[in-house]
Amino acid sequence: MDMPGADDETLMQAYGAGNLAAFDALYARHRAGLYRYILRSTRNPHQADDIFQETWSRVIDARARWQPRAKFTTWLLRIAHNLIIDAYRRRPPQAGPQETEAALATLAAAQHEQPEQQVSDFQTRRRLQLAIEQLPDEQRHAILLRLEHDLSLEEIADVTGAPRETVKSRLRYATQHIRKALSA
Amino acid sequence: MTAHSRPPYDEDDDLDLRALYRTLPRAEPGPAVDAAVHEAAARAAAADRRVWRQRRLWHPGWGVAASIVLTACLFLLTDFRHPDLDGVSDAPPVDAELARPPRALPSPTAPPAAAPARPEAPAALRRYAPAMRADEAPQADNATRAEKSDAPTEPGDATEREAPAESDARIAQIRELLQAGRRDAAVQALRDLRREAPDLALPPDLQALLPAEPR
Repeated sequence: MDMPGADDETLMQAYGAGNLAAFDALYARHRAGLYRYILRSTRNPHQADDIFQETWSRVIDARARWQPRAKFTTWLLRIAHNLIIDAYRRRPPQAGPQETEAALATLAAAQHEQPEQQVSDFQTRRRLQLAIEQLPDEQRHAILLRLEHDLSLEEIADVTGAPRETVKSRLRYATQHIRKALSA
Repeated sequence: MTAHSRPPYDEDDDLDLRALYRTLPRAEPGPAVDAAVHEAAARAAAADRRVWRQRRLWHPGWGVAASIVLTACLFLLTDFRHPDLDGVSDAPPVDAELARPPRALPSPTAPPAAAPARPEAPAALRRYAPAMRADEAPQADNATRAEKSDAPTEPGDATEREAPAESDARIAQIRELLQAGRRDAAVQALRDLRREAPDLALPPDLQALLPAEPR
């Protein structure tokens, strides 16, 4: 099997048939985006690690019975989203805005994002981060799925379980809030 | 009242925000998390392989094949000829005289000459059936005949089966007389037995009591 060219659904079915390389290819394809979505939703690195591992554990557990009825990405994000909601219900976020900002700022930056970059770009990114952090949970989940994974309205509605019009409203409010923060 | 108008959300309105979002630090899971997930996936895949290997070794088809082979072996080794008819054609012809049902017991009062001269021991021992009273004998004889006419005749008749037991009882009685010191009575009983059953083979110790008696 040509692992790099195979789609997610084929890889998942191959892993269900015992092909560990298929899982590795699937994991390499989604690990970063899934982790960022969880981290920026929970704003807690430790909790993000736990939810990230639990999400993949559920993928592993479902390997034999998984059927490609929906996109693998949508299914994966729905698992993560439900785990995030469960975490919200169990306990409130332990990290405050300052702690979250510090945690996100200490994450490895790309080569072109070293200190010699322009200060205005840095401030713009910082404002974007803070604006996302300050959003209500539902709006933050919706805008993160949109910005991080380029999901459509229907796909976000599928992941979050909210009606399409509700998702549309949440995205509109989130976008307005971020633009307002960036222009301040 | 003026309705609050909100601009419709266009999915392309956030293109600039998506571009800006991609400039944020690219957070990724740590190596320990990656290793933990990979280990869990590998462990699950190994467990699946073990299960599939066991399924291959113990495939139900093996059981079906073994059953078929066993059935075929039993079929080939089984002799389907009728066991009751087996060997009948090789058996010697049946003697019509021996196959004939035995006749009824003669009355003890009948003269010995009237008894059929049957050399076979069972026929001779039939004479030792318990003595019947004169008034019961015909009725019993008739009843015996009626039973014989109703039921299929078998070579092992009840009277015939009881004859050896009768002779044994009489021999045992003679021994008891000897042990009691009543030699004369024992010799007389032995003579009676000899007279009634001349073909009966007496035990050697009792035969010794009748040295001068012609058989």
